Amino acid sequence: MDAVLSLHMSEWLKYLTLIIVTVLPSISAMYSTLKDEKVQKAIMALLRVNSFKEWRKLNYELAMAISQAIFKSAFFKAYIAILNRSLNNSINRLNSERAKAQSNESAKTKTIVGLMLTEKKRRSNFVFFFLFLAIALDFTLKFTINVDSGWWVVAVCSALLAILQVDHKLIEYRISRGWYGMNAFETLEIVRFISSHSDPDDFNDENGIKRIRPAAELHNSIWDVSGTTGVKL
Amino acid sequence: MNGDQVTEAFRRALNILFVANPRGTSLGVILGVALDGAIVLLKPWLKTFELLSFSSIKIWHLMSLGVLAMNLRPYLQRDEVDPRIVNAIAHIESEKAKGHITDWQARKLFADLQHQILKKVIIESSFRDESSVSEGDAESSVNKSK
Repeated sequence: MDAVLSLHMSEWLKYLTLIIVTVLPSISAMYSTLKDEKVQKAIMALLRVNSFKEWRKLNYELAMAISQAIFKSAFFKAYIAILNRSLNNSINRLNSERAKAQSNESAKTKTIVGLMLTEKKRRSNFVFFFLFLAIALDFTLKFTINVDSGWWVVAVCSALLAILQVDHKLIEYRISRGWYGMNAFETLEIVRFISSHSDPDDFNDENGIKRIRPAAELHNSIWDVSGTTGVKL
Repeated sequence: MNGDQVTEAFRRALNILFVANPRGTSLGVILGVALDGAIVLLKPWLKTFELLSFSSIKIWHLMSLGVLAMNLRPYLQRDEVDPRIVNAIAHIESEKAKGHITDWQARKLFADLQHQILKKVIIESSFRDESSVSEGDAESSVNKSK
């Protein structure tokens, strides 16, 4: 097992890998960050700050702006768009089915499932990014301070990516067949989504009616099919 | 077993660890890689501890440690679903297992259950003022509800 997973690479292959996994994404992310207006504004404001409270708030804003800019960079945009294809297809399908829905109830179910998938997409964006970061960090450590980790990290990260892809594909398949939500497991999935996104203050009044308050992007991006292949944070 | 049951079984199996908390698990992997690098960097100093052999710690030990550390808290704090809903689901499942209702009827019952649940839900997003929404708002409301 160890022999299979130990790494033997010729020098030129090492440099090629390092460029593809580390240098290119970093340049792409840095270019996008420096070009981003929000980041520039946040940095300028940070230079002029004079109280600690304000500094903390601006720091948070800067971190958010940078992470958004990184996700918008050409490299990560393409990487995440490829991996999120199935979820985007499912969301588009739900959208068109919702428009055609006969009853109000089924339209509402489709809306909720669509919101849930958009949230799933947002979460998987981070996962794809983290797994990529793990591989990049591993290669960097390997070639700089000679960490001897073999192919383990690459193997584990690709396995995790593959698992997530299979799950997304299965969701797409089940939605296209109209099977989604018709069993205990997926009913619970929907219920968990509702309970984790509803406002606890609304719980006790209005006859237990819950208001769904999904993440910020949902209401302006979810049913906008025109440009969903990109990344929205 | 038909396609419906096979794909459902697969999704159930996949959701056990990773897909249920993918963010934690992937962060755990990064933590493992970073710790591995730290151990290599600190090797000369760690060698002075003769009681413990740090060189026998391999990357997979550190990755599993990271994944465990990142999943422990979410696992302990997982939210409980309303017992009425759990009971209703268990009832449908048991009736189906006993053969009292067919597959098709069970699906219909699940759809009805969802409609019952969704009756109590208002989707706020469509009529919310856009200017008042920010990423931080949504995150904090989610955190509060937990």
